[in-house]
Amino acid sequence: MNFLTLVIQETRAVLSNSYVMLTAIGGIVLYSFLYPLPYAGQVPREQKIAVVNHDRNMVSLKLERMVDATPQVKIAARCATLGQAEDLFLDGEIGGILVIPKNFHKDILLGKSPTLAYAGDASYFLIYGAIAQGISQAQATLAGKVKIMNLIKDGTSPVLAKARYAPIHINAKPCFNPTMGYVHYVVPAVFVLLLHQTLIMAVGLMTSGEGNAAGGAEWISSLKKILIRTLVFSGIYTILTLYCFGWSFDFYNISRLARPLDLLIFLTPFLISASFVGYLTGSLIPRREYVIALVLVSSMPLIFTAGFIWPVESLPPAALWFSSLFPSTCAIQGFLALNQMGTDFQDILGLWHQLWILCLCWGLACLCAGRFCRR
Amino acid sequence: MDQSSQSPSLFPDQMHLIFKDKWLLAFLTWLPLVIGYFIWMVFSQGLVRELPMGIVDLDHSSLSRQIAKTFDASPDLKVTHSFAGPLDAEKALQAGRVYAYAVIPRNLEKETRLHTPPRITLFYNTQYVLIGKKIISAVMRAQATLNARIDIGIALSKGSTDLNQAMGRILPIRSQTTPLFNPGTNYAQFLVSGILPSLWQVFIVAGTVLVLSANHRQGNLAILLKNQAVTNVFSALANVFPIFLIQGLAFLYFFFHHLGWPFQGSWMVLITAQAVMTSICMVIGALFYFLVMDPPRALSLAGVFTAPGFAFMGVTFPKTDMSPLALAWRGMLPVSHYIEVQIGQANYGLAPHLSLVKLVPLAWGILPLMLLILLINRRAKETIK
Repeated sequence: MNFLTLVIQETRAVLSNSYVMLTAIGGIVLYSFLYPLPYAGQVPREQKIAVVNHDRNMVSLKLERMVDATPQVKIAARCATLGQAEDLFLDGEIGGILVIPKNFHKDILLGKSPTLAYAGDASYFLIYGAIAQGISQAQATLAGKVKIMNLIKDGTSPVLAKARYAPIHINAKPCFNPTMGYVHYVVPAVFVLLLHQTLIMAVGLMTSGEGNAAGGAEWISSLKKILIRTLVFSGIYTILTLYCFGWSFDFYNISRLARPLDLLIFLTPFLISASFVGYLTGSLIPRREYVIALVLVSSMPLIFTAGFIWPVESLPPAALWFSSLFPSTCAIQGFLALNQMGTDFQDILGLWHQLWILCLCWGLACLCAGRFCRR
Repeated sequence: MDQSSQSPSLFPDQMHLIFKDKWLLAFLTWLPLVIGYFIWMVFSQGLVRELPMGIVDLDHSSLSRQIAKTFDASPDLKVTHSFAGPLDAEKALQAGRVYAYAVIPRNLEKETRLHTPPRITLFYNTQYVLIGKKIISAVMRAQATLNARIDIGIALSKGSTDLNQAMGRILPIRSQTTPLFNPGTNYAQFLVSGILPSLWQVFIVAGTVLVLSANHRQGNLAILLKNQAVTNVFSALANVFPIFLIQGLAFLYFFFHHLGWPFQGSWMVLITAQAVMTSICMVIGALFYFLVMDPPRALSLAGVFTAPGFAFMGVTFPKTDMSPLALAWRGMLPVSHYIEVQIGQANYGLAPHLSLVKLVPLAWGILPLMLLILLINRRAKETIK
């Protein structure tokens, strides 16, 4: 049989395999809506706190208003005592407590630097962080105003005072995801893993289901089979990638800075190596349900070692070593750099080479598995 | 003795079944432990430290060097690169070699001395939200330190003698933030105590499907379904229940005993919650199995249901910011209710009734339970035919 007939034959077999099609197409389309669902709000907003104000006067009430005006914080309750606020906290009504000390205003005027106290529930870091950020912004603004007032009192002109409240200013520019939105943070990375996992699953299901009759012993025919399968699946997944990186990114308003050709060049070794991983998984695992189960439980280790949730600099060597065995890690880093940060292809050449090395290693492993692990 | 009349739902039968299949045994025993430990290992450092950043120093003065040193002194930052110009720095930021870079303008020192405050521009990568937040707060703290130092210098040079008075003017308001229940804001404690329960949910639902599949493969299922199908299936499931509960107890032991994370509440309450969670997850797993009667498909359903569990839990992205649709999906996942009990017990030390009330929404589990009973009866009829 010539090569083309084999490819057509394989394509037919893949398209008529309902397990494979359900995993590849059903899985990707379903997850592309399900996974971003909780993050649709993008950033935590208006987290509730209680204020215990022991110094009810103009300045402290102004601070309250400034805190309430930040997008992160909403004052849900004003309590007379700390005890009342604690009760609200334990009831789950609020996530933090701000205490304004007695003589707050007087101490500011006397230059005694009064201390604002904020306590928040660190069981939920995002809520804690949002509230802390809101309060510290309000505090910094008030402190700035006090300094400007002092400068004016000393005889500085109001215009100069406004510039001089700090000796050095910092102008911070957030890059690539300026609003720190969660959809823009999670989706570009998770979609790469989604392609990776469903591809491994799909190739694994295809391979695991068919026994080892065709290509087990003869390694030339085994090689042929691996290559044809990889070719067909890579073709199908190129289309699915277009859906993920094209239509779906558009749907979520995610930036697409990369040139399509660069993406395709980077995609090629990614799809090939992931197909090889799938082939190996399928030929080593006797039952299809175990293929699914293994891919399912491997998702979390892969996602947390890919470097976008937890920086690679903080990973222990063993975790780094494990994660670099799988194409998803390089691919997530590469696609984020290309598509989200607008990197030149030159700068991710290293990752691209790594993916080709993975192709080679996993491909060899597939061949060996076909030869030595006959069932 | 007539083998077929005996119900293979008993504990020894189920254990025999599991031990015969090394893949099944792995999924129920060592694999959850290995993956759980691995996840802990990933975050074991607990804190993000020494994130690489770059400096573009256009001033080359002692003050600009002092600024770079102040950034480097922050435990969260490490100045790894010094760029000749903004273009090089931008490329490094895009390529991910640094997470941030600061451009220190020409004449910085001179302008500071002349009281025309210069402006340092910081570009930082927010594609990785956690890292972006760490950097900006570390830089802001470094700036506050720097400014205070410069201000004190100015105050002293002007002949101010009262340092307290000077401090009052430089820092008119101080603040003190207290992260409750996690004093060191340790990421391992925060993330791992949420990730492992959601991983556990995957293992219970998928594990139940795998156990039923194994029963089917060995021909047990047909016998189970022969007469008194519902009782038989449930007693078979009840005999596997301890395995899943032990998985749950294992991570509790690991967190609150081995690692010594704070635990304020009652073990009984938490273990009750685990038992409820295990039961409902097993019912859901069994429902998936009897719904499609096909192991790979049932497992795919289990995957769709449980895999994004951590995202929906509300431990990271708060549930108060989720849409009604997301909240509905969240409500269906047993782990999102379980985690509230775990946090309530471990952190707040809530009274039992206040904590267990969080499990009330799990009453929806009656629905899959009834469906499961109906389905088992139907499959039993089909088997007899």
